[in-house]
Amino acid sequence: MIGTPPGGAALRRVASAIFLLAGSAASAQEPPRLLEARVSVQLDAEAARVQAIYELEGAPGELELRALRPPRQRLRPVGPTSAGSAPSGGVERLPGSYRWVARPRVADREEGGRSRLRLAYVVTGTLDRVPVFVPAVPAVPGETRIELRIRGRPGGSRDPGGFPRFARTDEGQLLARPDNLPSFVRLPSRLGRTLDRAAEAAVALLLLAGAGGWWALRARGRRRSLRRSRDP
Amino acid sequence: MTAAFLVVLVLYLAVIMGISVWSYFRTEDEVDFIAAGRSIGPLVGGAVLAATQISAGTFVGTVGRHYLTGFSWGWIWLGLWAGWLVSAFFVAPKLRRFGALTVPDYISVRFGSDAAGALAGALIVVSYTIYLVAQFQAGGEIALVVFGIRPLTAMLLIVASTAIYTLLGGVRSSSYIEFVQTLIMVGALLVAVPALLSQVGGLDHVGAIRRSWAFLGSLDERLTGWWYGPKELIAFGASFGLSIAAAPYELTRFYSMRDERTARRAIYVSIGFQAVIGVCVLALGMLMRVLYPILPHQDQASAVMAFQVLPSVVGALLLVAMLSAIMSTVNSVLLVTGAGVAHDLYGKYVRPGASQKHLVTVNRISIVVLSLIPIWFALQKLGDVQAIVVEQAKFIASFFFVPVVIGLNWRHGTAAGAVAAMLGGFGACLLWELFFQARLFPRFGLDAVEVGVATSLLLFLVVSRWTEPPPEESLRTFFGNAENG
Repeated sequence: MIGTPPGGAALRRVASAIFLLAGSAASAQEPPRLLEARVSVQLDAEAARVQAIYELEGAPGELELRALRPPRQRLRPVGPTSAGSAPSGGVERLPGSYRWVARPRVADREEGGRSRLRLAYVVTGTLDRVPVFVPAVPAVPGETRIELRIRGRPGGSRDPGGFPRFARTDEGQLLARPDNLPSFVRLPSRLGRTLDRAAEAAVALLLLAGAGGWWALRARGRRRSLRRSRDP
Repeated sequence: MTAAFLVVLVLYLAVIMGISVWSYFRTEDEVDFIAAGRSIGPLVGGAVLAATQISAGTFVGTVGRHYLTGFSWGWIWLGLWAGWLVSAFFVAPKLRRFGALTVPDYISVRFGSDAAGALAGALIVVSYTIYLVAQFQAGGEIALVVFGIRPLTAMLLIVASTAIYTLLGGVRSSSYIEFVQTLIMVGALLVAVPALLSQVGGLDHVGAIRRSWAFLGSLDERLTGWWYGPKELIAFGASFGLSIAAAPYELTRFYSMRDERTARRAIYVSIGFQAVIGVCVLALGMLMRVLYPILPHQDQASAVMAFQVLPSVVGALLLVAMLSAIMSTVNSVLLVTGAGVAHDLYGKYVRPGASQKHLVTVNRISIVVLSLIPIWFALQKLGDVQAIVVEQAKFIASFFFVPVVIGLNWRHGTAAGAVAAMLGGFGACLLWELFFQARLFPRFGLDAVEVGVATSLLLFLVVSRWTEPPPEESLRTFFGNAENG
């Protein structure tokens, strides 16, 4: 993720491209990337136990992770928090978000090696949204494998919805494989499905109303111009 | 999602092809092709202006900017709307009264010089090639996220589908298609915002807004405050505002409207549409940052939202709206650049006596050729979509604002003044961007657009003062008799 200077950068790159120099400015060191993220949420009546494993290309010394902080909820790291790493500072509770700074363990010391991080935490209180920690490294579309799995929610339809969009597996688990890691999961609910349907109905109604309104205005305009042309 | 998207896409393509074929049979001459027989009313006209303005730059680039930088980018809409109001009061009615086919036509007649018109045509072709780069790049990003197909394939598909409806029906088909597009855009956006809010906070949208605001503020306090300072916002707002007041692809649309009053009312309708769209893209960009704090690139925010967050049909409609926004802008730009080559250059310099049918054919061939050139640049990924749109806006403002806005309202401007203003403005903007912007903007806050427009204005006033005025009959068209001034 990069910021953009006030102007000129794109234009200078146009000039470079025209003179076939575009490649010369490429950075030598690639930033870390997210290769894989597997998040597993085990639900019971009072708590959601979350285990998250991240694999990264590159080995950052420290990694900052963020998650949405829903209201009326508590989040507690549990130990051992790591099979390959230890969080360096625990969870910081900020307004609206959780911040976790952790030290990934280098799994492969070869050049451009991989590193691994495992987090585990328990969420109690309101459980319709469960925080997911997002590392500050981007996924690569089409390459990064992300898997979010929810256990302990039996029953329901094969396409239960939720966020990100979950599907029900044959074993009765909920599974989502989005291209990017979200800052929370919203558990599928009847209300969520109703809202989705209401949104779809609303857009259809808006389109019909817009088209109908235009048609009515057009017809009125035609009648007016016809009346004007008849007037002496 | 894919099934829903395909159904919505097929329905949408059926509608636009129907409109295109209907328009094809109603297009008999160049006035029909370039100006829709001057039959467009205020509601369709306003929707058309909005659809032309709302491009990939908005759906992909602006959503991406709000995703990356938060709230403060929203202030640039004020500059844009100021530009629209300048157009409503000082440009649109006069241009519509004049009733030409292209903006270089206006330059030729107003300043009594075909050379000035030809220069305007050439500069339009250059600047809008940059604009097309942004559109194609946005199409490539969407295709990568949604279909996983190569950007080149997506760009060629966009060119092919847009060229079909541009070639078939000209401005008449594109005007009605853009009306449909605006309805889809506004409808999908109005539903998308509550749909995203409900992901964060269920039915408690106020709570969701408060929570999202707190989340973004804790990520980076500039997201909810001032990512950009006043210097940057003034520069961006000036780029958009000054360019929109004189943007050829928007001005050409005034020619297709019924009369001067319709042109002005269409602008007000357009600002209404844009206000709704502006608020929605701001909210969507920021909410996407809450849902996905780290995306590989900010330009992917809108495609990820449509494909992975929204309910299937709403997401599919939004994707169609995004693709159609790209297509409508590509279409508008191609109509302007095609007319620049065929009408302003070929028809006046290569074969002045060419028949109407021949000119329409040359126009159509130009459209195909001009649509392919920007693809190479788009594949180089020269910057994010919004950055490319800003660059293009700076150039348009620098060479066109003075000859169009000042030229329409100050009778002492001359042909030499207009040529000097266009060349000087373009050159000053280009040189400042390449050599001085990075070093001097942070110190003095002087942006290329301000340098370009100031240079253009100075040259216009000074050169006009010392050169021969245009013939009286040229001035009479715009200013009435000399004593009425």
